[in-house]
Amino acid sequence: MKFNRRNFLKIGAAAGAALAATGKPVSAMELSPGGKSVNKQGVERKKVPYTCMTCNIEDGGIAYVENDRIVKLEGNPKHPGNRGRLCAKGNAGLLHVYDPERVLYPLKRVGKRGEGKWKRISWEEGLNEVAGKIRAHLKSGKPRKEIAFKWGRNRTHGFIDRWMNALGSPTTMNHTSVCESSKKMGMQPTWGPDIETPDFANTKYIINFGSNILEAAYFHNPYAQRIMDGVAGNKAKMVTFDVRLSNTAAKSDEWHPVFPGTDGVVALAMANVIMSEGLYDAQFINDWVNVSADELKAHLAQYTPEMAENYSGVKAEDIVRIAREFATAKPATTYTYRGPCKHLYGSYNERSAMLLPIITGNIERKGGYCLPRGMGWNGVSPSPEHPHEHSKLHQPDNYPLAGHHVSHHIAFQLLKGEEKVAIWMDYYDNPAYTFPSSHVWEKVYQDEKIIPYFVTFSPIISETSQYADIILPDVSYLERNDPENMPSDLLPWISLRQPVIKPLGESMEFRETIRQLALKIDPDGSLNIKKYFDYGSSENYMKMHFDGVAGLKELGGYEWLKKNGVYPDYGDLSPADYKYYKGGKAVEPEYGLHMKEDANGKVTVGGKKRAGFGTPSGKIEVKTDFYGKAGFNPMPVFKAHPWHWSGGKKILKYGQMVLTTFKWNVHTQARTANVKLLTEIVHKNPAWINSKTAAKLGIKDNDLVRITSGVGHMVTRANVTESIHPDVVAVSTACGHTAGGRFAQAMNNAKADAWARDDDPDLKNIWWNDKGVHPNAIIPVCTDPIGGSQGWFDAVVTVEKAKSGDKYGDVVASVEKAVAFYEETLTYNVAGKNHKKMHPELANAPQAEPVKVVSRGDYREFDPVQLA
Amino acid sequence: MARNVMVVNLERCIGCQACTVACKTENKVGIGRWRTMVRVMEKGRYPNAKRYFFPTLCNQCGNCEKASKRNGGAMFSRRPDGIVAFDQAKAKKDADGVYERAAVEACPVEAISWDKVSGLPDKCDFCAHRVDAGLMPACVQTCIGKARVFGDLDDPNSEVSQLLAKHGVQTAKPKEKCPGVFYLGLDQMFADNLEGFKEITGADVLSGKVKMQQA
Repeated sequence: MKFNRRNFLKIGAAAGAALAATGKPVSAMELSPGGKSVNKQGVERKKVPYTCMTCNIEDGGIAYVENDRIVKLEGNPKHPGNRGRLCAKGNAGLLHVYDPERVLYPLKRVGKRGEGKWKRISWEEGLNEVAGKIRAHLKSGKPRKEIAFKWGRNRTHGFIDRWMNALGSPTTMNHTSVCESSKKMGMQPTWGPDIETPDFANTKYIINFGSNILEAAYFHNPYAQRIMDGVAGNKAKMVTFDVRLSNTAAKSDEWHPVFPGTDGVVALAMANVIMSEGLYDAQFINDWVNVSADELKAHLAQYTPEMAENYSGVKAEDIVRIAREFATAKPATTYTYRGPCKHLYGSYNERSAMLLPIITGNIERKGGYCLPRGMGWNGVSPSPEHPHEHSKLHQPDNYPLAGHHVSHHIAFQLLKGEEKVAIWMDYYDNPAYTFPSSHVWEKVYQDEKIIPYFVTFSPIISETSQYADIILPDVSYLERNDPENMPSDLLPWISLRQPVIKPLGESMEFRETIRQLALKIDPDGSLNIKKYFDYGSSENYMKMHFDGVAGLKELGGYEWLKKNGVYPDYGDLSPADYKYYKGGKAVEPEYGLHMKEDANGKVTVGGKKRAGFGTPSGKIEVKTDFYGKAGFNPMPVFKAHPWHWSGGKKILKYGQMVLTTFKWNVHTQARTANVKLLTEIVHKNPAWINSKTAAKLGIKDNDLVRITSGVGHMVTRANVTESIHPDVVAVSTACGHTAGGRFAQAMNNAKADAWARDDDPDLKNIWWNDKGVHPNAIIPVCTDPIGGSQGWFDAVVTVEKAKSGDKYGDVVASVEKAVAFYEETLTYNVAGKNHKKMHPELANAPQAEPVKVVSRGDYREFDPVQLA
Repeated sequence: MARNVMVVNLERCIGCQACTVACKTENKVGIGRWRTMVRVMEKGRYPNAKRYFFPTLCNQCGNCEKASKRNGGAMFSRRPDGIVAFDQAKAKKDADGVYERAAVEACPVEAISWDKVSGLPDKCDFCAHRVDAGLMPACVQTCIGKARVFGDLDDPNSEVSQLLAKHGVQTAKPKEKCPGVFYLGLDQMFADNLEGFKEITGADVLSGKVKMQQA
């Protein structure tokens, strides 16, 4: 189906414009916004509510089932986050269940590691083998921390910690440093929570620093709805700073292409304008900020709009104008997820952007920048204690503020022998594809001296799980149990993920696999493990979470949640304005949470103690001791990246650019690649290069180009475009799989692997033959020494026309060079030689006190107040 | 009598493709063909580049019904509520042995595709089975930006009637027919971009293969 240009331009005149206006209010659409589905014969289908997990946002869904097969997914209209609607990934979610490459029974490696030769084994054999290895290790007296568990997406809400704590190992490893950890570490010391909930629907002005919220998570679907309500419905203005014209930038009133990593200095300059011109909210700063307006003015004076223009390329007059507009267009909000934080010193950038809603008093206002709302459930008792051993893989040395750990260092730490591993467990994770210098992870996984035994729970044979010694396949997200919540709306909620069909084949839910392993490791309870897994079934586990929740309990607890999917019931969703109505009245969120009277509050305003913010002072701590004590600048500051700048001058040479990666609206980082309905929309990832830059380098559209970093090079095709900064080359990480399935790898009409199936007729209709080229191997490690995040958008590369012999798809990356970058990035941590060099302003500051990190496990457990 | 139509408010379309995928799962549309999709277009020179999103679908014009009838077919038929429905069981082969070729070729916007598995034509019918059960079409149900609105144009209080009454709209080809799809905001897009507007397929642009008009 295609339109040619002639067809496209022949669009007729308005046919409906002659209709007379009736003057009556717009009524709701006559048709239902969901909650029911029929087949083509009009027969109503069985429905089961669930919580989505195609990304991390946890929207509510209803699965429609016919003959035990899921035939359609729709949003759950009772879920306040997504209000009955699903994104492209959510709509396609049932294809994760019916993925022809999904592993449906345990497999054991028979060839060399990574060779792809497997034999089917029984669950009994698989469980006995893994339990036997773990039991033998526990009985051997060797350090328990040699039992390692790495996850990439953990929606178990504490279950993985239960498992590892019961085994007595501290070596739980997450993924958060390749995600948003520096955003969290920018925000938590400043106001408590690790995220904000902007009230986009009611705002008048949005400054978006580098977020592609209309395409990707945190919180794509819920926030895209509210931004459209704000922009189209409330006529709010949206201004986007981004190196690339994302769809979000495209829907904004203004797009300002910034030089990578300089959003922070733009925000600081705007804050300077707002302070120096007296456009700030003096009362709010006086009541709720731990520094005075005068201190702020003095600190910010160094960040002039001209200085910001020098770094960012955004004109000083635009910076001044936008600052004035933002400060006067109340209510207003910013959004940053997750651009500014993904750079060296990303935590400073995040804190700088946070200043804007703070100094303008837009915190916790209708239409402003609000605290996240949440609800909880009960823990499951008994609960094992956290082990006392320390693992550097869990928390490396010299990153005292990296409360969400530094997971992308782990492969390098293992290569250097910092810790020993006996058993490696891999869960919902694919570092050999999704991590920087991904080839280093491949090398580690291949090496049986480093990882002697590798068990995966993955149902997909991915770039990572292909190296497993044994596969105990988990189920899809539509066949498992979890409690869920997310601050995706100002109305808080909790929801249930439950199996909507019986697990396919012999696949087994991870919670159940672990329960069976635990009982085999410790059959008589003598190892003190069994008692933590005596809950009978996953369903019982959910019952223990939910049955006692006040309010829900009275409705029927877990059983009620199984029928409804989400709690509380806010009423009926109106298709006219997508608000909930109860008793004829729209349900509105509460604002001003910090102002609530609280006898235990630390801050007194208007003569009354108030709830305040989750900081040591109860105020917003623009100046934070956490940073100060750890040796960092306690104020929001800008640090120009030494790879890009020297003495305020850009140091990129001819042909050099900054490599940036990005997500499409139809893909996650790795897990959607074999979903045919998504991959047919996006399956290749040419390099976006600005037309003027391309002309200078003699590169024409669709030319083969070689992109060379300090780690290696890749050969891909050029997408010569107007939609990108001239100093930036952008390559999406969604494409270029070397494992994962026939749709992911564009293998039309290919033979199924032994464990796979041919039950999808579309396997013979794969109409694309370009699967893209994945960039992560050539991206060097570059770590924010504060929050510990990978600086994904910092790598300097040279772009040139391909050389003779270069083939499309070539990726050549050196382990030694990747290690050299790792060693370099360590020099920026608090103990490294570059730390002082990057902080000349702290030369006279008192010596940093040693900081003890007490955070562990999932980020939700991190509380900055606990930092000594 | 009802007259069911769709109004697409382009200001609210974010190009997310939720509609594209929901349509495919609702109607079991295989890969390589679409009943509806969001096309993406770019225009302008850096840093003033702009991107536009344009949801496309069958305009319910009825050309296919006429062409089919001329060839003795009965697959396509306009329902009293305006939807041009079809019944694959009634598909007839044309002289050259291809199902309903004349009807498919009569479509001015190439909105009818062949199901590669069955060889039968297939197109958007506004999810007639859902409409008959009191449900919105699947694409409208899932529309994140609330860009797609569906309802009865004969009811002056319906949201579609209200939108059409308040705003100037345009229709896709063919304008002379009684169309079922109206666009809000199309004129602004063309005011900005009519000269030298370059059309790109959605699949191309989404996978990064976007060409600019070199002014």
